Amino acid sequence: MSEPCLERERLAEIASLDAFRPGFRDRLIGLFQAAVEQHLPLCVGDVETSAVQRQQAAHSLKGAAAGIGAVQLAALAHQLEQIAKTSAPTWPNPSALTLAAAEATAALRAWSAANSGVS
Amino acid sequence: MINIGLIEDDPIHRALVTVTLERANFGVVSFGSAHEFNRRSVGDIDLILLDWQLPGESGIDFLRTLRAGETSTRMPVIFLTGHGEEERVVEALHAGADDYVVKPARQAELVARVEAVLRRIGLSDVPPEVDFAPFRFRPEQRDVLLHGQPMALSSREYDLLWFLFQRSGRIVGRETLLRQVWRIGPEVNTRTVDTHISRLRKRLGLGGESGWKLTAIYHHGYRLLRVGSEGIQETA
Repeated sequence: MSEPCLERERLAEIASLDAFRPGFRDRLIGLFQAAVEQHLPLCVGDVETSAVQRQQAAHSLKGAAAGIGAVQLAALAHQLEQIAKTSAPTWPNPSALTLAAAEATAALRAWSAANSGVS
Repeated sequence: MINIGLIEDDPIHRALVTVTLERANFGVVSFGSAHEFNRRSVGDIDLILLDWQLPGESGIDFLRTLRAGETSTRMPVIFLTGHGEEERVVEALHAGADDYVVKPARQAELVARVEAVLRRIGLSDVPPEVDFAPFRFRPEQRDVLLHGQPMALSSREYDLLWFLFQRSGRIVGRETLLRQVWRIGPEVNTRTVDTHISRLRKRLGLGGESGWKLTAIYHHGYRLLRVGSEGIQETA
């Protein structure tokens, strides 16, 4: 596993839980995808929102990303959360967040496919 | 089984923590908010893992309310949150948290911290004998002595008595007893709990004669108290 956008140590922990509870890995990836679909539009401004709502969405996206080991996405969401706290009107680079979310999702799918049947 | 109450609204962290703790042989009951926790009878919860940012009441406000309402027993609480700033950690500990873990928690560390807090309150590593004078429990043999004399109890009576003594001072609901001692749901008539309680009370002097009083709490369940416990409001 050498996906740079994913944290190896976290993936190993998830794999060990999947060995204990088969199907857990894919369930977690499904939860991550749902979190991205829910929070990303609020973060990048596709949906009109207040600074507080954007901060909450960024916090939730950061938590979901960190939980599954998507470190780059978690770092960008953390930046956005800090910016939203200052009530800055715009997010400086929304495409970076969108790209990181897409990369993390693709990497998780690839990781799951490569390890299906392993645990 | 030790039961952990997990108050966490994030589905990913809820799933991660639940499976991590279940693998370590803990029972986990999860709640999406403090409100959800407060609505449920929680007599079977031995420790709370608490997120900071929750829908509605925040974790820190929930903890302050919990601590303000405690009388005889203190619920152990570990904060489990994405906020790792020093001032947050200090604020949580000042509010009465027993420990603080930053998410995402590493599995081994989380389990170790839960076990450490449980050890401090005597709910982990069950010793060969546990003294609740004049009662003495021997969990490995599953028997109990009263004034040094072994009591002939059925397996169910022993489990019920041990469950109540481990949670002495707390209100334990009938549905909790059915779920944790009988391992069945609340659809079964709760009279069976009352019948067992009544029999134990008479046989073991739990009306106060033994130094312990097992009291029915109207609409809630039962509470076992040492006679003379201070700061307790007897409501039934």
